[in-house]
Amino acid sequence: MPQKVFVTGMGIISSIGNNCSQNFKSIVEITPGISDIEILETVYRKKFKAGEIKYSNKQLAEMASGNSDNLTRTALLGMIAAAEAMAHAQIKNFSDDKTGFISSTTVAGMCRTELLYGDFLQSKINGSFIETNDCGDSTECIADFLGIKNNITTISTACSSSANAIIHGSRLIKSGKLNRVVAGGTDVLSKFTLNGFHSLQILDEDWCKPFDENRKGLNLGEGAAYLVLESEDQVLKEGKKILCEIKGYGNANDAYHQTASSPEGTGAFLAMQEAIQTSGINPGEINYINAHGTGTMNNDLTEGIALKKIFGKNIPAFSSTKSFTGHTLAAAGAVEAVFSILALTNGLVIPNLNFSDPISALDIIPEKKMVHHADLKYVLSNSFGFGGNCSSLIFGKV
Amino acid sequence: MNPAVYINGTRCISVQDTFDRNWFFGEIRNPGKNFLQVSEDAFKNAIAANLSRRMSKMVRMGVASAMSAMNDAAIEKLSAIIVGTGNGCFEDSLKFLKSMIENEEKLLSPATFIQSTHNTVAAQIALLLKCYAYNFTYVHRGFSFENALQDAVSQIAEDKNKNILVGGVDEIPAAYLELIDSAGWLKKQADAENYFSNDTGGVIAGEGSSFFILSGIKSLSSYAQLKEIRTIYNPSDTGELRLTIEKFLSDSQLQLSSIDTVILGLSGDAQSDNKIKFLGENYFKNNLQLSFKNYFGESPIAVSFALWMAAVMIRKKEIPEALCMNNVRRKEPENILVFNQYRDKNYSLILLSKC
Amino acid sequence: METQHQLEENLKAQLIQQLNLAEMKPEDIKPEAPLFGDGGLGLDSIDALEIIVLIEKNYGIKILNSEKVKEIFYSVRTLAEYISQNQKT
Repeated sequence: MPQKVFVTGMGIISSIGNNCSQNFKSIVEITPGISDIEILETVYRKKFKAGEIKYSNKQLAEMASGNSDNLTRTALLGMIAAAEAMAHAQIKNFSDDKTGFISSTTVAGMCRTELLYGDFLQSKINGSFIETNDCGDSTECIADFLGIKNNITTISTACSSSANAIIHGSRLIKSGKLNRVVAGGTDVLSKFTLNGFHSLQILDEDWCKPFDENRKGLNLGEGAAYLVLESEDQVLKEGKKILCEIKGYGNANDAYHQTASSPEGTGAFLAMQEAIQTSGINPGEINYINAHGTGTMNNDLTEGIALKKIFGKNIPAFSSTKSFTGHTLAAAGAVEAVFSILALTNGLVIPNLNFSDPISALDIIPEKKMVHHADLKYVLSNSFGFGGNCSSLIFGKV
Repeated sequence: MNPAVYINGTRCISVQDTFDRNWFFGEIRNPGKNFLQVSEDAFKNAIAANLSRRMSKMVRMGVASAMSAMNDAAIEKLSAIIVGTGNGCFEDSLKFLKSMIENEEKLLSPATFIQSTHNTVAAQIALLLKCYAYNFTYVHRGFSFENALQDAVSQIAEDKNKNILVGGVDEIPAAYLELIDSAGWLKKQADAENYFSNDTGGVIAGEGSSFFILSGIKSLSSYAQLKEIRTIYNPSDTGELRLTIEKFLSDSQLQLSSIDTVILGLSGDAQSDNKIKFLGENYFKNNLQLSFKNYFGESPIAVSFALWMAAVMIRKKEIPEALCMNNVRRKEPENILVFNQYRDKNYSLILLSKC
Repeated sequence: METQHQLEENLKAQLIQQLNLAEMKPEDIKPEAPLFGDGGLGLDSIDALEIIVLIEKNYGIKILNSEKVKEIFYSVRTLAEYISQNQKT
């Protein structure tokens, strides 16, 4: 009998707060975190805005109670968020072999490598930063920090990474292989990604406008978020407080182009369809969608097309919270999972900021205003990444 | 494992002539260098030129071995594509970074940035096959391939009729070699000969790609049965490893004496090889022991070469003498245990059996 | 100042190099053949962005909208014409 998967804890750090409570406050008070770039050293400081966390690595290290010497910003954000999630879930023993840790990232240690590689190219000495460059580094730093000893892995599928971490964790619990998984992701602002997205011409110089006819691109962001997932048996055994259930999930590939999504929104459609099928609910039962909604010409159009295919004329209330935090890349799935769960448990429909005119080809309108006391039972969250990687999660009220 | 999992197709691209289906440790390349790079001559026609133009060597290796594994298993439809890579598309990452530094963040190539994302290989395979199925990339150091394999096994546990493409791929471009040399990871060139026996530090770096088709259905082309996989993170000592191996064997309902062959992940780096060497000399002393990294080099996904080797040996019912490290008698292989380590932190056990 | 023909030949070589059209030679590219979509070179949106970089790097012309590239830069010929008209001397 497959185990149900429950969320018993969550942790987050983003440009709108250092923990769940601060993030929630910023959402309720509608104070987005997208601003001028101040900490990242780049020639584009005055050109692009970002959801930057206004702490230096040293300050983050103090918050994480770690020594910052060999810890990348990626690891530090992850440590802070994962620690909050673990504390929230009141886990007593996390080193047993039925507990796992699944993290995800795209920037990984590049935030450090990019500061040191220039000197290395000149001198050819001091290449030891290679030790922190790869994706597994931040995961092992976080696992070591938390004392998780077993079942450690890292996923990297671009912007769907941490949604996939949550999917993978859920599957491990459903199958009975593990009882508990801490799953999520971490990504930081880096020159590498800022320049990469700029070369693709998909950054907005102003605040992003998800689902707006005049949208010009995305704002990058940084952050980390983790959910503690536990099996039904585990939750009953320990008398845990449950935040919600992971009701369904889906992952599909668009198989159309490296970066652009197919005009039919195939991957997005298939991911949502699979999530709905695995949840056992009808599309009509979904009350709110936290969309991927990056603000790019391509994503918002194709995601909208996919939404129409799934929901027809009855698209539930939807919004993109990237208008609050920017696009946190690998962390987006988990960051927005936290927001989805906050929405679900507080009866809140989060507004889609900076919206004026609907996309003319679609004529769909996101939620423009905060809705309090909403009767939410199921929330769908989308995360779509480069390489056609599309993932959807459904959270159910318990 | 329930249901049983079978390897129904495989192809390996490495410094050796593994892409040639008839090669079986006949002529072994030994360039005597501290790195073993793949020559693309053997498989350059596997991908059409107009499709491969944007692909880095890493992506070409991954795509070519993946497509060939599918042909080997004679299947066309996949239920999942799962890739493991420790370093991702490193050459394109460093190329973009170098350009960013030298051009002061101006006039950068979008194609290079796109190709640097870690899931490029899995994405390209899906694109070429027009495959909309589940698509994951694991990027955890020396567990990357094992994690991909574990995921594939869990997919089959849900539905044994699935055909899963799973593989490992990593590259060693010159820019990467420079870095690991400077970090002290690479064997000094002077120590590259006979490096298993000279107790020096550093590894012989290798690259390549091994892909497999896994299914819960046995076929005429099945190579072997994948019985069990386990990963061990940062074991404190050989005692902990030994206990894990014992539990692994008992969970697989096997005695140590039933393991006719153990493939050891000795890398040539004295320090990281310590625990495996000790267990080889003690716990496994009565089992036939083979090495593999001296033929393929070390990389986060090197273990995928060992799995390829084990699968082919079981199918061919033969262990090549050149691979043997001790004097235990060679038998027709029935149960092969791969015992690997990467940088003394990521240890794994994979059991493959005759089917 | 280059002749139109010379500019076209240079552009062909630059496109082959920048876009990694490894199996092609300049003489394989007809100046009036479409660059994008089927029936021509089959370039895509990423190539469009690469061409923008190429034009700025080699000819000092900044194009701010990649959608324009597909419309105006139909072929090597129209690309060369655009460069002749807009190149900074």
